[in-house]
Amino acid sequence: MIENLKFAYETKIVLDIKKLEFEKNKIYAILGANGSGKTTLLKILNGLLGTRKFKIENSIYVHQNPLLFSGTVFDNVAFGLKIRKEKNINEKVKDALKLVGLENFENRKSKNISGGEIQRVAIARALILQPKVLLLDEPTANVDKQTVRLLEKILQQIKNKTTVIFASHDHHFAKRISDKIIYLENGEIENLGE
Amino acid sequence: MINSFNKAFFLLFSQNKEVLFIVLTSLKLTISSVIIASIFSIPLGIILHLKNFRFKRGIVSFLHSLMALPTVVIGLLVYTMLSNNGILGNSRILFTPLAIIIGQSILAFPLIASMVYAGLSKLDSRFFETLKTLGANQRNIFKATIKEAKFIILSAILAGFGRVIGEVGVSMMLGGNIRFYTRTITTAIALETSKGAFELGLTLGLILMIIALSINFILHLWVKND
Repeated sequence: MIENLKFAYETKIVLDIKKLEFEKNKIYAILGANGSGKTTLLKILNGLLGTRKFKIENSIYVHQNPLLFSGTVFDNVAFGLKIRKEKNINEKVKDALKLVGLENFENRKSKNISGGEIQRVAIARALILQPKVLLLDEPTANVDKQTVRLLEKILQQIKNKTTVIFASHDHHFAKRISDKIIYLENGEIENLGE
Repeated sequence: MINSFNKAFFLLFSQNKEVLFIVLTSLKLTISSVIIASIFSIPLGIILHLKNFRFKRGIVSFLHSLMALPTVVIGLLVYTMLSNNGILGNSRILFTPLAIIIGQSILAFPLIASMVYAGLSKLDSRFFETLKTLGANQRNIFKATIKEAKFIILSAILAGFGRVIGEVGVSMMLGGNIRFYTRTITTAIALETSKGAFELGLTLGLILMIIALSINFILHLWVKND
């Protein structure tokens, strides 16, 4: 539950949300024009911007154009597990890559894969850490139709364990996949739709 | 002049004991001082980039200013500390290789730190956001930054190497240009040229160029292959 969220870049208020509630294991779409505050909201929810007051614990944010670290796909997907010093990393990486349809991609260099594959590796890198909330910024913006369909499938698959909040311009994608749509306009919630 | 070049080339391949000693001394001293400077300057450059704190701008400006400091001034400052009347006079390390290493480390330190700091500011901001969102703590961020910015760091180290191996002031003032002890490529070139003996100076100049080009070539290959 978020109440009275205000955020400004210098003097310009870019977000002013009175109340917003997220339920467990649901998919939320945030729709709005460029500059409406979608990315800012996601980053605040992840604690990357503003105070930690509105941070959702155990949430992971995936950029619109995700950045992969240098090295291999394995290095990227295993990163979070390694810093948590978890066991069975190899198996978990394999499972995560299978979930996003990138089996046997472990040894590929991250610089040698396509935009859609980068998006999926970034999602695998986030999902492997089993976040309670996955925050996706424009997940369909730079990918082909096939990857969009795959993304839909992935989000449906993880729905019973993870709440997904994604920002998008794509009304059709949002309507198809989300349980609730949040319309943002100039930093304010314009409308909440099912 | 052509005669001098001929003699220099002959000297280059003749495995002359003195030339070999001078080159090895230069390399040993340079590598040692760059390693020591890197140990302190690389973390400083990374911390300056990652952290926001009071006096940060002041420190960055100070480092930039130090980069422009002439080598003889650094030599002079360290000389006053290491001479008999200086605060470290009892250590008796003036005119030893160690004194040169101290001076050269001070010389390389601000350059490496500044270059690491400046280089990291060019890293994509998504890199640090991704690390944070994946739960990286300060230590993880530090380690990941070193890995991700390895070419930036390596370039800074090589710039430090270039600055140190080519300097004369520190080596001359703190090492004293003692034959078969503290004589380096640059101090030898200065001495031989002042004597009018160009052959050894030219030979050492050629070696200096070969070292610089080889290092750049290896770095270029590494970057290309990675």
